[in-house]
Amino acid sequence: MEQTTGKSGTAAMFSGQRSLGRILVVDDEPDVRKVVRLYLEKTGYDVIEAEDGKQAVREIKNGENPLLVDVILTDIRMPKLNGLEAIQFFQTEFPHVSLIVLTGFPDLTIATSLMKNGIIDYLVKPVEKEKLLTAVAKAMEQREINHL
Amino acid sequence: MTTAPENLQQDKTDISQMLKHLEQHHALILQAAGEGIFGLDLDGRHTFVNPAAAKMLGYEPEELIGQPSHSLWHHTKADGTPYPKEQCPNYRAYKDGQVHRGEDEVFWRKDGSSFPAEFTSTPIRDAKGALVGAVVVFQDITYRRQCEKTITEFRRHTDMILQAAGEGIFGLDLEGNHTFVNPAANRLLGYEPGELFGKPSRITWHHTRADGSPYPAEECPIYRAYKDGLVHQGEDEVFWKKDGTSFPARYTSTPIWDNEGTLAGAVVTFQDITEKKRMAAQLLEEAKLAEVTRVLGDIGHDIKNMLMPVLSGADLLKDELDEQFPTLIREKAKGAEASYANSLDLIRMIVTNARRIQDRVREIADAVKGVTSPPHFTPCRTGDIVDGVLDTLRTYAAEKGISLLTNGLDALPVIDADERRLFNAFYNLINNAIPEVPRGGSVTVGGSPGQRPDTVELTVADTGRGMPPEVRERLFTTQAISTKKEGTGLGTKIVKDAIDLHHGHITVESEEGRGTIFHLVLPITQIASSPTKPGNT
Repeated sequence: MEQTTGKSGTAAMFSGQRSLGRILVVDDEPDVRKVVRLYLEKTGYDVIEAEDGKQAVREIKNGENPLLVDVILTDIRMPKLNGLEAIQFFQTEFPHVSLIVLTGFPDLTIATSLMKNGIIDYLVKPVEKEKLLTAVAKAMEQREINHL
Repeated sequence: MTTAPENLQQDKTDISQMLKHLEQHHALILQAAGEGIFGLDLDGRHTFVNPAAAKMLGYEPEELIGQPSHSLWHHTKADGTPYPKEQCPNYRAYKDGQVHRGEDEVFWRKDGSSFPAEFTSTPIRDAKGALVGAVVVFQDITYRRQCEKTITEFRRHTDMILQAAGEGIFGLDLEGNHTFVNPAANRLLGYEPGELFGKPSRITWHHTRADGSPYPAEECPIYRAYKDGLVHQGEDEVFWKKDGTSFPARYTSTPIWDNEGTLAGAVVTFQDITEKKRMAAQLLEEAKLAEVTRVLGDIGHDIKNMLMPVLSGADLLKDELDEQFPTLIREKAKGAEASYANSLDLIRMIVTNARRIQDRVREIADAVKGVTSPPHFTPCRTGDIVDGVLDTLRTYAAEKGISLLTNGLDALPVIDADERRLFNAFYNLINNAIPEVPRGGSVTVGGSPGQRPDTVELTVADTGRGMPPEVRERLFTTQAISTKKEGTGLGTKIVKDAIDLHHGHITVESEEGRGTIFHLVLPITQIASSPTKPGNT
């Protein structure tokens, strides 16, 4: 199993199937990233990981084409650049990328304001597989619309 | 040899010289005197006037000689009314031959102004003892009056300050006896005015320390002020009231010195700081609560982060096993079937316990929210909220063989409620009841109109074991006892907080072995004075 972060997932490519999309997972807990990656790769997505907002920004900027990321799934309470700042940054830099928040901190005020600001969903950990996949599918749809 | 007439002549010359000398001497005294001095004849006309008298009245001395005194400078009283001559002490002196004094009178100047004067009028008699007039000696007492007025004013002010001061103020002499006590001091210590006067402080209100031990005078800062002449302060001491109770006081003891610069005593000002202490304690409590809330929030966040890989990992592991084991079993691998069953059981165990941890964290988070977030009232159907709770708990109840029932909820009116909090309240009441009910029993949520027309009454009744009295009594306090193995004891606090927030009340009826009934009374409408901002629940 891959331990390093930042490498794009290759499960879909190896399996020869067409990737459903590329998801950037931002969380400071490697195990959280790993289970999310497994859920998503099994479903057919490519996954990139970042351990905080700063690295996430680096990952996207380093890519030859930032549009290759379709959805960003991020925590909002992490060390260094926190998720809220990262979300603002993502929204400014990559307005076409859909955003989903996945956090252990259920705050209705933050959730409401983020939803108003156009994030796709606000998921609270521990999240069930179905909820996660539904949110990602919805984000992909939104991504298609944004892309038109 | 001198002849008799010559001698006589010499004597005459000597006497007249002596007299002249005396006259000059008297004149000098009269001239130099600071007081005004008049001589008056029997008609009250000036026979002599010294320069001080003329100056005070605004005349030249010769202007006054031969003029009537009363009509010139004593015609009118201080209040502006005429002054009849017969009442005048000056006049009376040369009428009745007695010495007369005047203290509270005014003399009038040439320019029509007046000044307060104090005077003595002494009768003059001739050699035969017949009255021939009077001598009036007077002083302008304007300055003295001003001084007196200033002093009176100053006294009045000081008195007013002492009377009005919210702080208690005493004066103590060198023996520690009270020399004055202001009303606030009497009120704070529970004494009548005058009661403390002359009594020593050390036996009335400063005899014992807060811990009950005696307070020796030598150690007392109040006593030290009038021994060492320095200002002393006390922060953390108690003063004792007449009724034997005490209060925490803050005070300052300032030494008093007399005119010669020797210590005369001390002035003590003090405050009852009960309220200040209470406020400080409350602020500390609130700060602690805020800190606990923050820490609990952080812990909750961490735990949820940690639960995510546990639950999702177990789920993914199950997928892996579901993929591999059927093949192994089909291929009749040794022990595969048993191993598959064991693995599934272990995964179930992991998931069940992780979910329980999750429930506890949610419970803590709800309790924290109860103290931190404002209420958000919307019109709610109680039946719908209870149905939601029962749906959530039905699987759990079924596992335990218990039925969840409702009764009369549909007939209830719509009430103003914070839906999330009311949901949590019912969730906790029912969730706590389930493990207490033996298999085959039930938990029933009932509804009926309240005794007051603007309320509804809800009941949560179980057929469980009931509660021992000590658990029941402490149920809705922060000292609630949890009888569950994993209980945080927060469940009942969530319930109580939610009901309090709805301005309702909750009571419990329980008997060991016969079950428990919670009675909740909730108002139908919530007062408009608790508005909530949208998105701020």
